[in-house]
Amino acid sequence: MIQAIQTGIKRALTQWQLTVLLYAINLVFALGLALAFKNLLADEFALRDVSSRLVEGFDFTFLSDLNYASASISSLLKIFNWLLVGYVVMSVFLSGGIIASLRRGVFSFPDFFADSARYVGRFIVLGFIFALTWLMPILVVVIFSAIGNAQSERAISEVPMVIWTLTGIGLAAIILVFFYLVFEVAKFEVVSEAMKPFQAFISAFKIVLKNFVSLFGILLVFLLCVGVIGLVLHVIAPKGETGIGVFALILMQQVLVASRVFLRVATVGGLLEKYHEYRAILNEKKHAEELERTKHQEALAEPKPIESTQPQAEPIESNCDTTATHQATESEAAQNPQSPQV
Amino acid sequence: MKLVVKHIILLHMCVCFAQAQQLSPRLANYDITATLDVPSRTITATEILTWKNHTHDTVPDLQFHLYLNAFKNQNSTFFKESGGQLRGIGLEDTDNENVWGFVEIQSMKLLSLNGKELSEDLTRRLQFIQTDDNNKDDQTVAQVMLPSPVLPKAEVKLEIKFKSKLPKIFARTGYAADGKFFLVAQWFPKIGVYEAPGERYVPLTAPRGKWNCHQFHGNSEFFADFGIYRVSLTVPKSYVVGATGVLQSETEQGDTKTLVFYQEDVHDFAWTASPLFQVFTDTYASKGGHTIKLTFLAQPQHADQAERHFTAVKHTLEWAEEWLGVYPYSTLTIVDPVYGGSGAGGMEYPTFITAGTFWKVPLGIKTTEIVTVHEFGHQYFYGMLASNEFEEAWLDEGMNTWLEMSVMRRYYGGEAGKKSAFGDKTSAIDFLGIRIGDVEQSRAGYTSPSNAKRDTIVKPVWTYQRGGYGIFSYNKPGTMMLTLENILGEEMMKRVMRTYFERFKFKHPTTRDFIQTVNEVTGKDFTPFFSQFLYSTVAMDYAVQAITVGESDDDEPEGVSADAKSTEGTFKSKVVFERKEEAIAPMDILIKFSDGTEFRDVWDGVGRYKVYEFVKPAKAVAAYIDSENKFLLDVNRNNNALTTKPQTTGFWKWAMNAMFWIQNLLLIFA
Repeated sequence: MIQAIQTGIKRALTQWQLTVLLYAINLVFALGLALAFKNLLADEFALRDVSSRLVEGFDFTFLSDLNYASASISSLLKIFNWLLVGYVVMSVFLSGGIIASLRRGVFSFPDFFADSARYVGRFIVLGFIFALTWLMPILVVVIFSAIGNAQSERAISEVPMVIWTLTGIGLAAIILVFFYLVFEVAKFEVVSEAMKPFQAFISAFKIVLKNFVSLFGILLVFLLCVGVIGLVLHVIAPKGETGIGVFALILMQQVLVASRVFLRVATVGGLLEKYHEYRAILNEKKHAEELERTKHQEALAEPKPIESTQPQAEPIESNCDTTATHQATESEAAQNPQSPQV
Repeated sequence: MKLVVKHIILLHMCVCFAQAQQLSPRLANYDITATLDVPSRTITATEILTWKNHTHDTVPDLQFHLYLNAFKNQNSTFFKESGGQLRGIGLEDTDNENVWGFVEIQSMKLLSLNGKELSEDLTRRLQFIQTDDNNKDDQTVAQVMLPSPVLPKAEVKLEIKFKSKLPKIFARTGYAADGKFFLVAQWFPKIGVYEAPGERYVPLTAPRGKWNCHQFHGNSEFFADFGIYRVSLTVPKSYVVGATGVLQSETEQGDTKTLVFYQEDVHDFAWTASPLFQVFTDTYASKGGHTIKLTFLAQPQHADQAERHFTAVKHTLEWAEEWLGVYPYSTLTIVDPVYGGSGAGGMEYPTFITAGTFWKVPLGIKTTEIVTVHEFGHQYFYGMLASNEFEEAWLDEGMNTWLEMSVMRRYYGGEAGKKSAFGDKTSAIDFLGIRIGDVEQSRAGYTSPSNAKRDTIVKPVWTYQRGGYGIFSYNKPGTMMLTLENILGEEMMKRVMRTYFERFKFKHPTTRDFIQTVNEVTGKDFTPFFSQFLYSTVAMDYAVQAITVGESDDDEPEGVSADAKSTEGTFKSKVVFERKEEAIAPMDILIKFSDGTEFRDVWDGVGRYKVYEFVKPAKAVAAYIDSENKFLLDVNRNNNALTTKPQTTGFWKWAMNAMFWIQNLLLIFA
């Protein structure tokens, strides 16, 4: 796991262009909306002497009286919804490029966008499958809340309800993380093994199931890094009550966002490393199995002395029957380990 | 030790003295003996009611509230109006007859009338009447014709045997937790209020008075005469009981126990019984010289919040005794409703309130305090100033919202809260960077464009549109009272409120009484102010429309002229103020100039516009209307100032904060 983390960070560092690109896209999308918001406020209120109140922090009265500028606000919210959709599509689009670049170990813009375009269709399907899996954590929360409610009725206290609901949320988070990892690994499968989306998701499910602890560990380490950076920045962040203060605050916020983007790339890199390790073992095993199967087939194909009076099968029929015979033999072998393998 | 004994004796004398004084007219006096049967959720009781006719009328009949019949079926007026819910909590499992409630008068006997001892059965004379609507299915008011009228200043004494089946709690009263919690309110046949000509809104010229006995409505609360209550309650021995008044005795008989509560000069009696309660007590030294015993009946999981409740009550007591008058009673019981019984929470009865909290609720979320402060505040606005909650709900809920806001900002809003209403940004919520003052949240309930002009404040509560009760009985009048305080100043407001309290405590004050008190104490006519905000739907919005500086000859300034021109070193500045809504009030005007000088004026606020023009060596750089935030009723305070120099630092901060959170949100989807 540690090696995977190190590799993830190394890959993110060597392909820093990925971090820059993702950060820039994130910034452009968010900045567009933020500037629209700022302009709305400035257009309506720059001369209204409310800026000083807002510098101090959250101002509920300003917000509640924004009701009287509701037309502008609602148009802004519409923009936000479209922006979110656009960003999600953009993120799905770029995923192929990110994975392929990290896999290749070298970054180049033409390859990046070519890879992005190559995988976008399959990644969108994967995204839909991933979205469907969200029903499961939602269901878990609903079920746990219902159990909590019933427990609370019995205990005549809201405490069981709170505990059950929180437990449900915790479990839902784990399930969500699990499927997030499946989603990520499924993308690797699509890129590395040229699988179709559904097949990739099933295969990734099996891989994550077998490697959940190490994959989750990688994710957790990177999440903790984000948490620590966020905490440090929160502690040292200025209040932002002057122009310089606000600027310093913005800088720190952007440091955190950039760190998150970097660690996101590193996470993908780390997961990819772990995936490759496991995929290599799988492929080796598969290869060995194939070799074994080939040997077995060859062995079956060799002419044997026929003692029976049955007529010898035609070569084509013999080929057709090979698999069935092989399976039967394997099955027999499994039932009776003492019996010699063919 | 001697000192302790001396202190106890003195304390006892004070308590006795506090109770011995007759504070109210004591027109409706009750002696009730009741037994709670837990399995059937039923109370069987005998009520001896002594009612005094304080008027010069001969009164031929008596009218009674039978509030519990609101829960008899879905045809009651309460159910039809409320849709079977109160404050978002509905009655569930309606096919189960056990969830319904009713009060049944089993017998009514006349014991004495006009000084004569009698023994006449009146049961068959009882009939249900509908005083507000024609809903014949509503049985929340009953009338009995007496064999002969009650003479002026005479008394009638009745013995009423009744059975009260308690509903499952969703609207204040009933049982919860499968019978492990009872909050028993509106539970006994309660006589209405007979009003003589000249009292409240009965014209002085009317030939006679009349009963004021409204049906139980979806939104309405209560109205009753003061009296003495002696109530004997028999409950299972394991049940902890809390009630209105002072516990006089407690005796055990087998599996049950009987507790006797007594209280003078109150107009209702409520009680609770539950084996789950943990009992906490504390005391408060009243300015009246007596000690008030505070009892908190807590759910076990909220035991660690006893101090929060006591502190909230003590703060309110301190504020109310300073701003209104002495709390004369010697007890106060705070009930923490059981899980599943939250419909009983946040309610007030004399010397007895229900609060509402949640397990481990953070200190920064001050709903526990807000509810406790509010409900205790009702000991004044409802308890002692017993206005008619059916007809003028704002007099208790609105004034009490003002009390709640005042207490919350003074004690929970930090130093800024003590200075100004809008300075307080923390008295409701101060948690995870979200900061909201109690004044702000209450005001916002009224000022939104969809609410501001929906209804009037003064009107029978059952005529409000759905959702209007909260806005026009709580939010708007609370905000109006704070606006009044800002206009009058703290000391004058205190004088007004103390006078109002002293003059009308243990009476039934009206809106008219309050307005007259304000006018009299201040020596100014505030009738136009109250006419607009209490009796009409008009909203208030004053704004600074424009500042122009230069040599513009335009009559209607349209914006700020950035390139101001000078003429012989002088500037022509024009500042336009605007009234955007219908409400009118005098407004403080403040105009600031580039040389630091200021111009102040008071605009009568009558016209649609007010234009100020200046020719002086300095430019007008900023203008403010109501710069001290007196008129919290102004629905949009974001337009109350205008400057010539754009200020955008705050917007950048908010926009960049928004960007930061959007970026993080986007990264989740990346």
